[in-house]
Amino acid sequence: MSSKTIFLADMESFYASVETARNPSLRGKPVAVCGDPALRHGIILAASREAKALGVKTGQPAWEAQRMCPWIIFVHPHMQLYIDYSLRITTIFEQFTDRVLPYSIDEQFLDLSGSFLPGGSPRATAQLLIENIWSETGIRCRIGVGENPLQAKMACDCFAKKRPDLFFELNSANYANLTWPLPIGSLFGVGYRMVRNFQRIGVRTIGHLAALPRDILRRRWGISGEVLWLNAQGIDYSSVGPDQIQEQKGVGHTATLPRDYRNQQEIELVLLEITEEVCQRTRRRQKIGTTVHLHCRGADFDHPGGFSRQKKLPEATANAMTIYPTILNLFRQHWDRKPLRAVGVSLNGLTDYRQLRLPFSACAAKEESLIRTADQLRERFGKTSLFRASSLRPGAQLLQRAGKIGGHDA
Amino acid sequence: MSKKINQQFACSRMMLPEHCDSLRQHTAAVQRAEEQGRPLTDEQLRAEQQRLLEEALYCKLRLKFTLLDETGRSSLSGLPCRVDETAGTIYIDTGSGKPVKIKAASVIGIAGDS
Repeated sequence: MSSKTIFLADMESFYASVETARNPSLRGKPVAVCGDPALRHGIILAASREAKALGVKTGQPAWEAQRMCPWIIFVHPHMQLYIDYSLRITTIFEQFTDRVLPYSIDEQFLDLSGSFLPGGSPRATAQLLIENIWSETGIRCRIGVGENPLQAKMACDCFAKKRPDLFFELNSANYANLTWPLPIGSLFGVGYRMVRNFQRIGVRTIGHLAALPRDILRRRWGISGEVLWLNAQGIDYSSVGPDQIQEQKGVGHTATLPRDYRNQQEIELVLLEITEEVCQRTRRRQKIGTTVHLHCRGADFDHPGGFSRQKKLPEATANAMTIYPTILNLFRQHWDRKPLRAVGVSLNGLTDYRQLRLPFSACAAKEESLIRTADQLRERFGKTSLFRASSLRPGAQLLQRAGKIGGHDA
Repeated sequence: MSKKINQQFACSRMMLPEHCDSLRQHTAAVQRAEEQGRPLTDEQLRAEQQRLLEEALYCKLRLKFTLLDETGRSSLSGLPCRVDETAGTIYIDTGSGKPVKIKAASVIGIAGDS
């Protein structure tokens, strides 16, 4: 089997870099992009290289960053701008290959297998990409190369980000030598909880994990354990292609509340708004879903309680008023009356709306027509052009969140 | 094989819905541009298309024409019955009565229609 050439391009401090590119007077200064502390979004979303050098970290509260670096410049996020920049970068990558897979807003995979490498080698091509991105957007990009997406990701995260040439290449021949001595937390897919689990069984490095029999991992953690074992070996069966953008298993929406919510009515009101949002997005994709999932996160940051439950619906739907009673049941059954910090609803098991469309009664057809008209109005005139009167009650979030992307200013 | 093993990155992608929508629109725009763009044809291909057309006219063979106009790509199958070189048009009998007239300049592909 011929080996593949996969690149992972990661944009350095993406949000902060975009803000600097947009406003060159920020260049060379410690800049941090953070949300509104009054709405509990006051955490650092991205910090420039200069801010990071002073100890500022992503995810840190803004006040803490300011204590470390009093002259730090805070910038409000502009989510639509970041999406536009990400798309511009995708377009630049598409000049090199049509197999581009955006993995997140600031990371994109490129499959250059069998393609003409404009630089002649992966390193020279990566250099060309880095220069192009820099000259066209003003953003520094780091590139990891591998024979599969996992190796490319590991090459980028564990090595390229720390190197002055912003490039590193892993392959099947050097993967074990270079990655096995690294701490287990460096392996893609291993979060802090899994680090704790592995440490309990004496696994401290990637090499320790690779030395375990695959069966043990599978028995203990199922498919997830098996995937981690494969990752430790440098084996990955993923492919890179634009068609994967179309795939979508579910539609979900989570809202971080502006304060701790204790009042049942207020929480249920936000749940209704989120359910509406999820159903509208599902309908926009011409889909209906079979399973609803409710997620509530407790207010205590250090010991976040809350719960996460799902329920299969009697029949697939994307009608908020059909789904909402199920959401309410789940909520009333599992909420322990402790204050909540965030709530989320998702609709999974999506199928094509037209495939399952059954003959409706006159009443259902009327309701469907009403929903469709409301969708069209909101699509054309915005989310707040038509909404439930309950969204004017205390605790409602619709008006505050309208026009925002990911909970931050668009 | 489990999807998680097969596509671990597709399973763990974190994308804002607005970003996904923008990507979908971008992909659709690229596809549209590709469909509406005129493909480059070399002399050999043009000669082959000319030969197919002449053979079909002479032997009464059905052909499939790929056309490109301002609305995008379309295809038309039928029996070529006349070529007006001065007007640059081809008359095709699609079996629906009156022959259909197409502009030769809008033809981007010709293939045998079995």
